[in-house]
Amino acid sequence: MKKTVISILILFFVLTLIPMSSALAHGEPVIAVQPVIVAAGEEITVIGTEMEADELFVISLEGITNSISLGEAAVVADGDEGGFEAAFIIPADTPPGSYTVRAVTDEGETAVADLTVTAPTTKASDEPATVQEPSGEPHELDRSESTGQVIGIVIAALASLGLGFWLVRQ
Amino acid sequence: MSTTTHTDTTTRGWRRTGKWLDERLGLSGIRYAVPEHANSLPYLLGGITLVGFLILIVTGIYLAQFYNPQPADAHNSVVYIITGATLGDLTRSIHFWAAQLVTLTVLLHMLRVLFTGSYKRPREINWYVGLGLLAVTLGLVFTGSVLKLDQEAVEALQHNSETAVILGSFGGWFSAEFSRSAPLLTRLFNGHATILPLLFALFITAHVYLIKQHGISPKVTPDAETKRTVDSGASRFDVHLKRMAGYGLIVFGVVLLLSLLFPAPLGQPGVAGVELTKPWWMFIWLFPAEAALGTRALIVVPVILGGLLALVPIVDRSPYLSPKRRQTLLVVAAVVLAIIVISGIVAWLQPVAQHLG
Repeated sequence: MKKTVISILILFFVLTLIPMSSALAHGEPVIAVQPVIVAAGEEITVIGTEMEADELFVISLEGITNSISLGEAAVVADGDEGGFEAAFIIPADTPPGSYTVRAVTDEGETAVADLTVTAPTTKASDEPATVQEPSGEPHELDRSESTGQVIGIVIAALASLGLGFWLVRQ
Repeated sequence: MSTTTHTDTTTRGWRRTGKWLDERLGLSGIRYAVPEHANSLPYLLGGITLVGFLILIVTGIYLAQFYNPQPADAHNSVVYIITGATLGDLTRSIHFWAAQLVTLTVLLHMLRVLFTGSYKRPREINWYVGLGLLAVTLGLVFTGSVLKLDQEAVEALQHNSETAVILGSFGGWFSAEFSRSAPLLTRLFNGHATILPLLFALFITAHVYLIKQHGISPKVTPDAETKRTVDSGASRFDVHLKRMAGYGLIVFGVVLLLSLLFPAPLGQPGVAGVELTKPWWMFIWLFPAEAALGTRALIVVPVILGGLLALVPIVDRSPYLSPKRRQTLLVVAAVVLAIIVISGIVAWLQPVAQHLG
């Protein structure tokens, strides 16, 4: 009995580590995004293929910290399978960085594509897009303390240490 | 003559106030007996950690008045805390250094409990509560470290998101998809400022309650056996509290000096998709495992370690406290600890590697 319970628990735990997937009657849906680098506030075109006719995909832009809903796209039949081509505006306040464009149906069918969003520019289409350079360096800020503040902190630290040692030695 | 009279009057005033307070609050109830060894530094590490948490709570409340958990504004609000808010840089640095020391004292406290067999009957459940507190502490460290949204934080968030995918249905809360109305960063701040502190309050209440029920574990001698020590010993709990407060003040003094000399770091605004930094020391030891096994290691290794720690009171059921009578368990623990330390050193020396898919 104990072994059965332990086996079930182990099986349950292992199953939770396996990402969920589902069998589809048609091929895996695929999306492509154009352009792959875009300035915030500009337009992208999402092209979906290998989809089931009449499905409705919700399109979102997912960053590492946030998820922005872009809108919906309905699949148009094209022979046995279908697809869509839809344009969406990237919100002007979208922080620059790497994003995933995700298309998902109510049933959970999902397709993703990468997109890089750059800082907003009024001439994004005329000039080469620029991506914020990643850096592991410290943010240079004026962190100097006033002399009075330094003295105050040192006095507070010494008082705390002194009182602490006095209490410990009692 | 007049000075003596003044001193007598003052002393009488203090006594009257003390009596008045005792009558209403029952303060003399804390003068119960505790073993003398409870006042030694190794047995005060838990209490020192608690004082550290009080520092974190106070400074955290202040920082929350200025921090904006919206992704677009988060980094700038941290810059404002440093450059604009009154004593903001100092408060943030105290919060940072207190978190480092608290994590250290939590780990040392756990090692002391392990070494002295303080997890043995009847204290097994308190060992598990302690493991819960360790998990909450590391959760607070992680969620706190990502809030600044610099390069190191964004990389930590990327690891968080990849881990969420591996966790499948259990990883939902840790993914950006969980909520379309609240960004992941905002929810992690929520976790840092409300959910985890609430869990900490519940766990620490249980921890202290169980210590009060069983008393502190007996002093380790060659023949010492585990037993309850309630209301026994040559010292008193008020003396223990004084010692704890004393060490707490020493910790606060050290934190103040560290904050002045080495202000809490802040990197450049983070950009997703690259790895240029290394995590804090609490997590860096996972680097080599991640390099070998991929992001899955970030779940598998902590689960294995947690499992091993959970097994401790189950496999070591003898009543003896002396390390000499528990050599097998302590050797295994020492090997695991050595692997963690060596992994950390290797990761610290290695150049930054790309782990993310």
